[in-house]
Amino acid sequence: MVSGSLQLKIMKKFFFILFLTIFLSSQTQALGVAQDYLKDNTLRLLQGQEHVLKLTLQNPQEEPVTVTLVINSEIATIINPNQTYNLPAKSFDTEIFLKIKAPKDAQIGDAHKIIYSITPQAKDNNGGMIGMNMRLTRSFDVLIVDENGVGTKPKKLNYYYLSFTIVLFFVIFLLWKRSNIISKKLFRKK
Amino acid sequence: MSGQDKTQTIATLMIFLLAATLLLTPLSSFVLGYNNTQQYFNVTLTISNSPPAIQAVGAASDTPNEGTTKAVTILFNVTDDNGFGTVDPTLATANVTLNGVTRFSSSCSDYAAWTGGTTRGVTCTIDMNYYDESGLWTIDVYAIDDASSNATQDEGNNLTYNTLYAFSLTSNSISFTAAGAGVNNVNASDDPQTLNNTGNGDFATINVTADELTNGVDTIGAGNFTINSTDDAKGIALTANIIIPSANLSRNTTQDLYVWVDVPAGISNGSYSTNASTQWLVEAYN
Repeated sequence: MVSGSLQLKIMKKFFFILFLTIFLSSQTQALGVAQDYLKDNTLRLLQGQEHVLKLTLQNPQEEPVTVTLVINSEIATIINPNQTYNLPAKSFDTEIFLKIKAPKDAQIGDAHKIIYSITPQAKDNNGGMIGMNMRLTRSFDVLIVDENGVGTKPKKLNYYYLSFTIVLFFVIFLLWKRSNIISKKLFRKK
Repeated sequence: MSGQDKTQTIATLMIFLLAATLLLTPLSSFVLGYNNTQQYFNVTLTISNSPPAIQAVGAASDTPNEGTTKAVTILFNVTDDNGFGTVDPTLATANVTLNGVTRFSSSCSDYAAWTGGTTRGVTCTIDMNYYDESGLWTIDVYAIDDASSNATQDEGNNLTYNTLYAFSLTSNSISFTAAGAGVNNVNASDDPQTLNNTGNGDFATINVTADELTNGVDTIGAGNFTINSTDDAKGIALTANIIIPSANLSRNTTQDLYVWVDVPAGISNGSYSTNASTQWLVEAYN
């Protein structure tokens, strides 16, 4: 017959109930940001040119949501930035503008990356349950182009390949000369 | 006067009288009134139909609405020398095409601001989907007049459909039912967590950042949790910000995530959860 204390131990060992609740009500979350169409995901600018890019935040959910927008770029800033942005429920038209300025001393073909992230505010913890949050991160390139819209860097002379080519031609020349000498000797003997 | 002179004179006189008669007879009829001589004749003039011609087509750029459709407007002018009334705008059509995909107008109507004289302004509505590809969509328009002459224009006009980066999570919670200490490979009870691309931009990677759970006494580290894009294996441990292998969220696709936990041995029983100020983060990156 098993003692009461042993029974308790067995229960603890085999019937531990461990509730791992990680989040809240099963509620769909959604978030979106629209941007002007960029061919090849690249914005082409002249040296020193400024451009204003519009971002449109969208909240298709039944409830309003507050988001933060963080931008990571040395050439872009948010115009009239806010700490947070309130998106009404079922809204598709909250506009934010980025000012992008190509450096005046940039070289044709230089590329700069702009990264921005949008994160909804974390929801309150309800009785030990915890929310899973989402983040949307975007990146695109800014390419410095010339007046014709070309952003290819001028090719620099590759001295390594030039040297190799010169040596190769010299070797071929020597081989040809040598071959010529040998063939002359062969014919002279005959 | 000789005989010859006489003959000549008589001939002259006869000719004169004949000419005068011919001249004066219709003249007298006119002077004396229509009752003397009246003539009727029919006049028929056929005006042929002038076929319509499309003069200008325009469409502003537009942006998808997350998870739903967006009504896009196409405007164009139809000129018809027979007058704008011969062109029925409700019979006009417009469509846009990109990479083999075509969207057709649901309705067209009069655009009054451009209508008058020989010009009919037409506005057409096309319902674009949120997942329709971003880029330059070629516009084709068609109009017909009441004589069944038609006009089309299919060159050089584009609709710019912008890019929407958007996604959704099926739920904001993951749950694990009863699990004993020291038990491994415990599935989340509501797997999978599904990400849905609700825009028309692609996401190349999916990252997850986890945190430890605690019951106030013991902790279950984030590294005890694993995640995978399929349910056939445990996947990788959530020790840090993890890029989930083989997971991406392309346009018009979904991505499932499966979570497992290895419950450490020797921990106390109770309800474990993450810190109030810390949540797991699912990040979609383009």
